[in-house]
Amino acid sequence: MITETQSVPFVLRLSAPIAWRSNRAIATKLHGFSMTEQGSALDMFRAAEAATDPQHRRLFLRHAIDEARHARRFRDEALKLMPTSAPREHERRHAIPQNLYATLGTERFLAFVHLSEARAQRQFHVLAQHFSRHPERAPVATLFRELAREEQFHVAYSRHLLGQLFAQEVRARRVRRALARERRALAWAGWKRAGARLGGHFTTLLMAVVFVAVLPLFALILRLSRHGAPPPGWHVASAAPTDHASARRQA
Amino acid sequence: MSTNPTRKVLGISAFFHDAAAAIAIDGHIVAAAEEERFSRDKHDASMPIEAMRFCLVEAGISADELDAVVFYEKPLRKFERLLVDHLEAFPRAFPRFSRALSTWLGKKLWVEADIAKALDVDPERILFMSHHLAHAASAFLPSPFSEAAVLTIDGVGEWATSGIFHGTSNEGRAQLTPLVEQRYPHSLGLLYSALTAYLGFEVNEGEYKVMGLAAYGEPRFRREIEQMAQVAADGTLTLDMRYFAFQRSPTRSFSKQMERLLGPSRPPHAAFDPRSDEGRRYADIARSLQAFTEDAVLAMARHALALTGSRNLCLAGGVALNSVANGRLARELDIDALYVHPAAGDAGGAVGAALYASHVILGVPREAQAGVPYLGPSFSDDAIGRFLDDCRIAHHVEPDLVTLDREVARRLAQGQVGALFQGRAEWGPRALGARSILADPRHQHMTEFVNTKVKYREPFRPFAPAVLADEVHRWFELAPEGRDTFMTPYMLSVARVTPEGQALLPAITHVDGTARVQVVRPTGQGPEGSRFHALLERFREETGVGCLLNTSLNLKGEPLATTPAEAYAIFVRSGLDFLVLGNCLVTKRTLAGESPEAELEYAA
Repeated sequence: MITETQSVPFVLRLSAPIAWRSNRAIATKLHGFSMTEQGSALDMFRAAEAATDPQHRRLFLRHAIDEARHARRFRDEALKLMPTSAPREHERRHAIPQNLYATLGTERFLAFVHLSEARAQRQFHVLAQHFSRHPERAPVATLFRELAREEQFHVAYSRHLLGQLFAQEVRARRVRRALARERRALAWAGWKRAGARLGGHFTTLLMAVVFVAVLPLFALILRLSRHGAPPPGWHVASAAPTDHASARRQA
Repeated sequence: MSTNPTRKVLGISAFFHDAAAAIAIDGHIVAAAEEERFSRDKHDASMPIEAMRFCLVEAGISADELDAVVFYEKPLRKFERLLVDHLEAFPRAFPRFSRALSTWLGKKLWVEADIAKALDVDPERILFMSHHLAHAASAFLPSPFSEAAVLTIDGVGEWATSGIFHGTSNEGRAQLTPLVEQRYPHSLGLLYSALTAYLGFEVNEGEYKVMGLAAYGEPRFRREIEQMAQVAADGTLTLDMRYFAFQRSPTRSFSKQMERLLGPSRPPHAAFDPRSDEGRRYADIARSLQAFTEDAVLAMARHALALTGSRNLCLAGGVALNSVANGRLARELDIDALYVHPAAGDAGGAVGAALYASHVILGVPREAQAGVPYLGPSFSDDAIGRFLDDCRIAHHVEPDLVTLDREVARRLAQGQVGALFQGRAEWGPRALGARSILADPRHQHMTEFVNTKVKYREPFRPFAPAVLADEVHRWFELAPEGRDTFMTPYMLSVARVTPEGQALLPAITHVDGTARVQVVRPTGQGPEGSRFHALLERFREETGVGCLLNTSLNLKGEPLATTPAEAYAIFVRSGLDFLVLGNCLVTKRTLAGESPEAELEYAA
């Protein structure tokens, strides 16, 4: 039997008023959700193409189309709130498929889908509640409410399929292990996301130090030597490589 | 007795935009694909792992059998330009410096190691060639010419922003000699991109929109454009850098000075009507930019022809996708013929790199003949049928393609909009009948309907026609003496629509009375081209018109569909009436009988 831990998204409930405080903040967040849904849609398409079980293919395809629609709805709502908004650079990466079905295998993939959809459903539910308290945000509340309802289907079918596998005695242990492993993987992914953001800030700081400490000297040398960018006009081009040795050079 | 061994070369372009891979076997490209078709991330710039994998599988070889893997740039030369650029702009370049340097130090400088690791090949087999040489090779080596002037124009490669080469081929021995080049920051591509951003469109994506928008305007900002950029009779381009910000900002390519000159820029994503007063101003700016670009390209092309003494011209680089400029070149230059690579942008660099290494470095003899543009993934009718059956998608299988095409033609003639997914996917940005959305061009409302209800894109954007070769002159005024013969199969040049065409085919006639024509011939374009030709024939039987509105099978902001599942997803999310997948027909009516919500029994 598949059991679930229904952890209350306490942090989300607490942080919602700050994180979703303005049109700009909401639009940016919605773009982020759109990217995640887009990535999820692409992975589900891959799964629908790669799976051999017809029932799995059918449900994965249905799921993929739902996710693609969700992505568009999040994006449309974001642009309605703030026409100039766009997803943040690091969030664009979420819109890229990770080939999870091929890399994880059926049990782990289903466990991943089930856990992440359940988490998304809880998130959407909390956010629908949050926005329903603000009448001027009714469209956003409706969006989250409707999508939470659709996520319910994804949670349900993935639980159903896991249950089917669990019922096969030889696979029960694998399913249980897959669920435990994916719970850990999701937590680790969250930690890595935070680390990546911290790393990004640290890199910017490091670059600022290099910029201030190292560049002025070289900029001065460049200006004094007048070896800057070339003037306009046609310049004689360097010869093309015609043998292996010259084609090996990167400069 | 000795035989020449088979030469296998993989070309790669990556890390700017439109990453791609292409594989050449004995100098023939057997597979090529952009990474975006697999990752679904439009203009994906990352290392094209999946495209490389596809190429190797399609060629039926493993990476260790490759004679060479060729990257389309010289990374260290490009890094040098980046450093000089930042030092020149010091101290204003910090925002760009921070982002660019971390990307270079973290990724772009280690291309060789990345490729060696991704393919598990000996680094000694990894070669590098300059960006514009790769472009030039993509234009000349697959062209039908044994001798030609080659002109490349794009944003920027290492240092070069445009280049002139002389391509020759004597008894199969190919040579591509670089003659002259213009260098960063004086770039026609960057000028066009900066104004694309000013007009509120995304750089590397919105240039087509600017080209389409230009038709609505008048060139009344020509003087202002010439204040920002000057072009001499020999094509020498000079940008006044006070109007541009791409040297210092990672996100903004035009300066406040440009806004002072032209007026406020258009906010991205803002609603846009080119017929409103403000919209007209933007359209006039687009028209002025387009006119300037065409004149600059013409001047550079004349210079290339003068330097080489050639009567053939090959064109590549992102600017070569400006089909309006290409049309003018074909009409106004005194040449025999013009060839433009179907994927003239950065993706094409992968083909150029693979062919250059094959013919010039490995000495594979070259045959002067144009290739086919269907080089991407394909799916058998069996695989498609299995997918539809497994997913319980109601469909009709029609083994006889003539009957199927007749049914498709009948539906199109009734005003339905359908999609055709057949054979290998197209190489390059244009849908040429393998991953296409099709409609009847005789209906006036079709342009707006397909833009807004099918593809969800801007209503001002035009649609291209696909036309039977034997009927082309009835509808379109092509360049004299067949100078555009090698461009028209790939939808790479714009021609005037004849008065009869303007009256009878309103959906493919742009507001200025032009169209970007695809001429479809019965043979010579592979099985995909032949099948598309057969469908056009059936449509002519039905309507008396051998021409269809043909646009790419995707939604706004998405790459072309690659797999049946993606095509189906577009079908259900758009206003398409039917979808042809191989020999299967899926219609909205057959789907209507099904309730996808029945799956919700699992939620109980």
